[in-house]
Amino acid sequence: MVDINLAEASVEQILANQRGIIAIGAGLAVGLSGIASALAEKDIGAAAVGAMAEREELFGKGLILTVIPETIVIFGLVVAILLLFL
Amino acid sequence: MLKAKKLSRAILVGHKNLLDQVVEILHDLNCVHIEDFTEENDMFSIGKPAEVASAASNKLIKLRSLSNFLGIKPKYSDNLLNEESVLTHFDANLDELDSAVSALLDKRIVLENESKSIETNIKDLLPLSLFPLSVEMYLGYRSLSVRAGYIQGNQTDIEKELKGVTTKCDISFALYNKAQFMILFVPVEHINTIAEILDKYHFAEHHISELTGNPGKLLAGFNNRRDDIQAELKSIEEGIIGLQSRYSDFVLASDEILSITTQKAEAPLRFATSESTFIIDCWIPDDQFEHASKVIEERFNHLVYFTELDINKEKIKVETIPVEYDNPKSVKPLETIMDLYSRPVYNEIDPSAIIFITFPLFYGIMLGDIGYGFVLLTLGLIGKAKIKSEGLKPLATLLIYCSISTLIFGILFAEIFGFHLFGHHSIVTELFGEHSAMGEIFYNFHALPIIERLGKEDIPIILLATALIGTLHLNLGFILGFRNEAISHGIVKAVLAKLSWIVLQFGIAIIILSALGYIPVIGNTLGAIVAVIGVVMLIAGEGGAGILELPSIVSNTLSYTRLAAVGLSSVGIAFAVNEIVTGMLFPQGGLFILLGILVLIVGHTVNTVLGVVAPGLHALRLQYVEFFTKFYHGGGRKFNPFGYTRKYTEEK
Repeated sequence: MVDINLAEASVEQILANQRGIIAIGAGLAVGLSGIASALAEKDIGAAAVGAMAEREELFGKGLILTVIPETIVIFGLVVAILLLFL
Repeated sequence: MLKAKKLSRAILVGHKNLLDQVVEILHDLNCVHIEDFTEENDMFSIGKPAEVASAASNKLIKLRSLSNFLGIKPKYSDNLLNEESVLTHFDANLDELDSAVSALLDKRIVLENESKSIETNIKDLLPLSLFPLSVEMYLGYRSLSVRAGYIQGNQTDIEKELKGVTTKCDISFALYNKAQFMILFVPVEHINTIAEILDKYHFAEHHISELTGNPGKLLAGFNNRRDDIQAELKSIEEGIIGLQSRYSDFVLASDEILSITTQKAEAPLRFATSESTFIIDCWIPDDQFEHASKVIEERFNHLVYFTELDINKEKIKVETIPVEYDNPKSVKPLETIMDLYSRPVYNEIDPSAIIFITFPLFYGIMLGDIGYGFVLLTLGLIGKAKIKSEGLKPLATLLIYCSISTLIFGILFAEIFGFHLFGHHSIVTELFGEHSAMGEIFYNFHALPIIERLGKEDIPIILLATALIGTLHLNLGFILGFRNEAISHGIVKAVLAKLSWIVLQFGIAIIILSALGYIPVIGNTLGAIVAVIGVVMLIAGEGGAGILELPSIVSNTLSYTRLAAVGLSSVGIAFAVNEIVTGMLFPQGGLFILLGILVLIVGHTVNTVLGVVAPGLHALRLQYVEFFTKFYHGGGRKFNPFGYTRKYTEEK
């Protein structure tokens, strides 16, 4: 760990530090929401495949249900982009 | 466009004697969707199939089992066979094929059985071949017991213990397959004591086949025979392939002819018949009714009565009306996407024509790259030329639409395989040098990109723009929903349930504009009032559940930012690959240049595959989840005309 004494740190160091923390935040936003999407999708996906095995025409509906939690990670990505670029 | 083809319910009534001819004509017309007759009563019962039906289906079953054995798959054929000539030679051909297949099949079964027994013998003989005795020496003793098998433990210990029981025993050991194999000859009277000792050493008995001769020689013989059998089996497989290519046209053509025959012969099972009349209940497209009725009139001269029924008077449930799309040829491929979700109900808006625009549009916004656009265009064109299957062809056409949109947005974003086309980092400038004629043009051209997707300043603009596109798309959905609702539940319900959302958004828009300072502060209050009116309308229309739906307006709109996000991820991957190659590998020279080229090819191939899958799925999802839920119900039945589209034969 780099020990930074804020009182002695230069402005550049503090800014760099802030950028690092923002990057970590952005990473967490995408990563955690990705895990959340995955957790939600795994059960739906399994059930959808099961339903499709019985009735093939359910593919469309199964696909929709499976991708509904995708939105979670998109929100995460949007938050990350806002953190990084705004 | 936007609506299903206009259909009418029609009935055909006539004398039973004419039934076969009517079926023929309807089959040729290939434009009526027959409703199965189910409600049997005293007056009417289900018709009886024609006599040819059972013979034809028996032949069909035989043919299909042969076709299954030969592995004949449906294919595209330019060469149409004449129905009559197929029929004349049908029986002879079928018998010939049947006997050829049975001969091969019988031979194969015999060979496979022999092969199995040889495998067993080889397995039995392998350890015995390590000992000098002939196989017959091990079997057939009355006073002597022979035990052969695998045993664990020290040889001398085992030998000592066994000799302790009786010295009149003969023990031999050999190492086979890293395991200890033992053969023991012992007088029968000691067999029980011996068995206990053998158990202690985990003895596993080995089967000895009843054969005569030296194991080594026998093995050699069996191995030779096994190779022969393999060769024979291979020649049988070749024979099957030969039969397959020789008879595939015949099988496909006769399958088609027999299917048509059974279809016609079994048609009466769907009609209502009385003692001497038949009634056919069917649906027919309005534009074909006149032609059909003319054909029937000419053929039967008033002996068969054919008329349309008024759907409104009959009070038919819309869900039961079959639906035939009515779209221009260019929109047809999108019908596949509609069917994947659910076919529209008869009086519902058919959104194929709308997603004809929005699907490729969203796809293009997401992928937006000249390089990938060309790759996809090539794939699509190849697919369209090569794919003959009716199911997959629309997807190739769809890929072409999407690639064109990708190209257009690629030009607007000025991206080529993730590289910048113009300005500071222009790939052209980097390749040709900043001061070359070519490099300078690309360096100095600033009209494009309209939006630089990896530029820090432009990213918020893309996010906002995509959310705006989302708002437009959603509101189009609400407007269509308004129309559908007005038709099915009346104008008041439509205003309350669908227009309320638009009013609500209008209110929110006023609040945002006043917060940003575009309109006076009073807008805040005004906006709030309008929004509240919207919410009240919604609750009146949808009930309390409407409140639960409220947040969806935000999440749905935000969901469209995926257009930016998926796009960014695709640019991101391309950018990363390019950085690795041009920044890290190429400057090191030598072998690294080769490695760089490899990374470049693999990276962009992966990205192209992702580029087809991810934007495709997300563009689809935006239609299905965000757009369709605003207006679309689906669940329509497919219009399935009575008839057959011939692929392998032509009529006599």
